[in-house]
Amino acid sequence: MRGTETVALKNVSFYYLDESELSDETSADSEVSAGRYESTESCVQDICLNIPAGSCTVLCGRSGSGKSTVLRLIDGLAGTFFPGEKSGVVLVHGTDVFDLSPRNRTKSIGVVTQDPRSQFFMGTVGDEIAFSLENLGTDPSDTIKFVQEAATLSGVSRLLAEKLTELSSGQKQRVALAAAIANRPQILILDEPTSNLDAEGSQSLIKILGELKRNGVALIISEHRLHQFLPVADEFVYLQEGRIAARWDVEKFTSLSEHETAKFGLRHPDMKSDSEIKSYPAKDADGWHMTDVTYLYPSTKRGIKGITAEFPFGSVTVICGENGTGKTTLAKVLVGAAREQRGIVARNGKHLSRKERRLLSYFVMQDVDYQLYAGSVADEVVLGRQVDDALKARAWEALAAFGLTDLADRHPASLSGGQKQRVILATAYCSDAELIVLDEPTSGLDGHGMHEVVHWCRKLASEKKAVVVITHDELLAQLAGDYIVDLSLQKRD
Amino acid sequence: MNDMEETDIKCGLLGLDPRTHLLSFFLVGIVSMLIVNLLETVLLQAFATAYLTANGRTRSATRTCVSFTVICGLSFLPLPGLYGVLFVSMLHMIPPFTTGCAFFSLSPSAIMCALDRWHLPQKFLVGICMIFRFASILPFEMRSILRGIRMRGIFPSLLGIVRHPALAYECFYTPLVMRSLRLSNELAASAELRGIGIGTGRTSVYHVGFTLRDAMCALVVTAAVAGIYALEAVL
Repeated sequence: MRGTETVALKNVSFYYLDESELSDETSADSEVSAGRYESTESCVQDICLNIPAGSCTVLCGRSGSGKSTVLRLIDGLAGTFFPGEKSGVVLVHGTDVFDLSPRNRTKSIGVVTQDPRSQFFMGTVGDEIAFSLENLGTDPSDTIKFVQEAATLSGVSRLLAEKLTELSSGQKQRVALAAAIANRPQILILDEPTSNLDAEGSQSLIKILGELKRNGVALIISEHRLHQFLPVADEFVYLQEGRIAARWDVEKFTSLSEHETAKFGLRHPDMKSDSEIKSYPAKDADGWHMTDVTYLYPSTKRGIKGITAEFPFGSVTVICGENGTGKTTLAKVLVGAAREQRGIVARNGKHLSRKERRLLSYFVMQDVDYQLYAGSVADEVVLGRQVDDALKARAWEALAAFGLTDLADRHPASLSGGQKQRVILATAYCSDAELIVLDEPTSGLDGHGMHEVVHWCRKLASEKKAVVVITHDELLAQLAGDYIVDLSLQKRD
Repeated sequence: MNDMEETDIKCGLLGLDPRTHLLSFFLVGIVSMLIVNLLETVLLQAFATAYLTANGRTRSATRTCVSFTVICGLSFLPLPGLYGVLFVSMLHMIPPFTTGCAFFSLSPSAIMCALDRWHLPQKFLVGICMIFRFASILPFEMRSILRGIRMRGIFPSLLGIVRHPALAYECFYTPLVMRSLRLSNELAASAELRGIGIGTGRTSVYHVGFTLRDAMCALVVTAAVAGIYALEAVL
C-alpha cells in the first residue's frame, strides 16, 4: 500500500544552538563524543529523504551520526523545543512541519522514544494510551474504542487497568507503541524500539509494524539491530557525521557481508568472537559458584528456581535469556542484593554470606546515571575509600586503562553515556571487587560500541576478576562470553 | 476494555468531580489557618481523615494521622527559638494536606479535563501533569539510586551512612537532581508531541462534571468546617 510522499526532507541542515543536545546524539558512543563530535559545528547536513505512505525507512549509522536529529526534524522538535538553526524544508503531507498546528502535528505523527519511561504521563496503561486522544478532544466513547484497538494490536489489551510502574520493560515498550498509534497517525517515528526487547519481543514488534505498514502508515525507525527489520524495511539510510553516506534497498542490504558492515560500524549477525564459547567451565576452575539457588519475589512468585552456575575468575560469563527469565534476579542474588531462599553461593567451595558477597562484588546498572556521585571523574574512581599513594597509583592506572585520563577533571554528569559507562568500569577496575556484573551494557550501542564493551570486559577479566554480563543481546553473548548461562534453557530443563 | 468502561462512570470511591476536591481543599485550608486551639485542629484533622478515607485512600489517611500525632507531640516539647512555632505551623498544614491527598484518588486525565473546563492557562495544566508524573516516578528514582549506591559498595552497611552523612547526602542528591533534570526535559518534549499544547477542548474517559453527589459533599464539607470554626468562636 505504498502511496504518495508523506514526509519529505529537502536539503535540510540543522545546527544545535545548545551544545548539550549533542550529548543526546552521542549518548551511547564513547569515541565519537570524546572530542571529535564536540568540535563539529553542525549536526546534520544536506539531508534529502522522501518517505511515502506505507513504507518503512530505517536510519542507521554510528552513535552520534545524526539519526536522532533527523527524527527530531521530522517531528518538528528540532528548531523549536531544541533550539537551532535550520535550512532546507521538512514537509509533512506537503506542509512545512513548523506550520503544522499542535493539533495537526499530534494527529499526523506518532512517536515512540527509546526510553518509554520518558513519554509516560498517566498512572495506568489505559489512561496512558488515551492521553493523546483526550488532548485532541476525541469523544470519550471513541477514545475507549480507539484505545481498545491500539491495545489489541500492540498486545496489551489485558493490561489496560495495570499500573505503568508494574510493567516489564518489554510491556512498557508495547504500551508506548499503543499510545503512539491510538489516534491513528499516518507517520510513526520509532527511536531504537528494540533496545529493551529480547528476540521474541522484537519479532512481535516487527509483526505489528508490518500490520501498520499495510494500513498505510509511513514508518521511520532509528536502529542499531538492523537485520531483524528486513521483513518490513524498504530502505536503509546510513548516516555518517550528519550526512547521508549510503542508501540500500533490502536486497542490497541483505547482501552486505560482515566485513562490509564492519566498515560502516554496523552490526551484522555473522559477527564472531575470536575465542570459542563454552557452556560450562572446568569443574576445578577458581571462581564463584551458585548451587541450586532459588529466589522468588514474594508478590509475583516469579524469579529463579534451582539455578546452578559457575563464574570463573579471569573470564567473562554471560547470563542470557528472554525478558522475564530472571537474569537480573540471578545477578542480584549473586552480588548479595537479594537473599537466596534456597541453595548456596560459594567462592572456591567456601560459602559466602550475603554481606561478604556485597563487599566482594560490583554491579554496574544499565542506567549508569544512578551510580555517579562525585564532582570529578578522578574523585569518582576513589569515592568512599581511604586515599593513599597506592590507591592513587591504581586510580591513574584505571583511568589510563579506560581512556579517561584526559577527562579526569570533568564532572561525570557532563559526559556522554559511553564515557559514563567507562567511568563506572574504571571504578570497578580500581576497586577490590573480584566479581563485576554488567547489566545490559550494550543497550542502544552500534557495532563499534559493542566491540568496545567486549574489549572492556576482557580488560576487567585480565585483572583476574570474574566478569558477568547480563544481556538478551545474542550477538553480545557470542562476542563477549567465555561461558554462557542460558536461563531460557534452565527454565525449560 | 472492560476495566476502562467500569471506571468510565466514576473516578475515586465517591465519584466526585476534581473541582469538588479543590473546593474541599480550600475550605479546610482556610479554616485551618483561622483556628488556633488544639481541640479544633484535632477535629479538623479527624474530618479531613474521614474525607480521605471516604474517597478510598485509607492508607494515606492513616499515614497523615500518624504524622499529625507525631508533630502534635513535638509541638509540646520545650524547644528553643522558633522550633515550637515551626511544629505548630506544620500541624496546621496537615489537615489541608490530608484533604488534598484525595486528588490522588483521581486519574490525572480527569483532573486535567476538569481544570481545562475552567479555562486555566495551558502552562498550569502542563505543570499539573508534570507534578503527577513526578509524584509517581520519584519514589522509583529514589529506590534506584539507593540500589545503585549499595551495588557500588560505597556503603555496604548502614553504619557507613551514619559515619559519613555528607557523603551519603552527596551520593543520593547528585543523581536525583541529574535524573530529574533529564526526565523533565524528555517529558516536556514528549508532552509537546502528544498534544498537550493543543489548547482547550480536552476530554476524558472518566466522568467529569457536577452531580448531586458533588453538591451534597460540598454542603457537608462547608457545614463541618463552619461548625469547627464556630466551635472555636464559642469556646
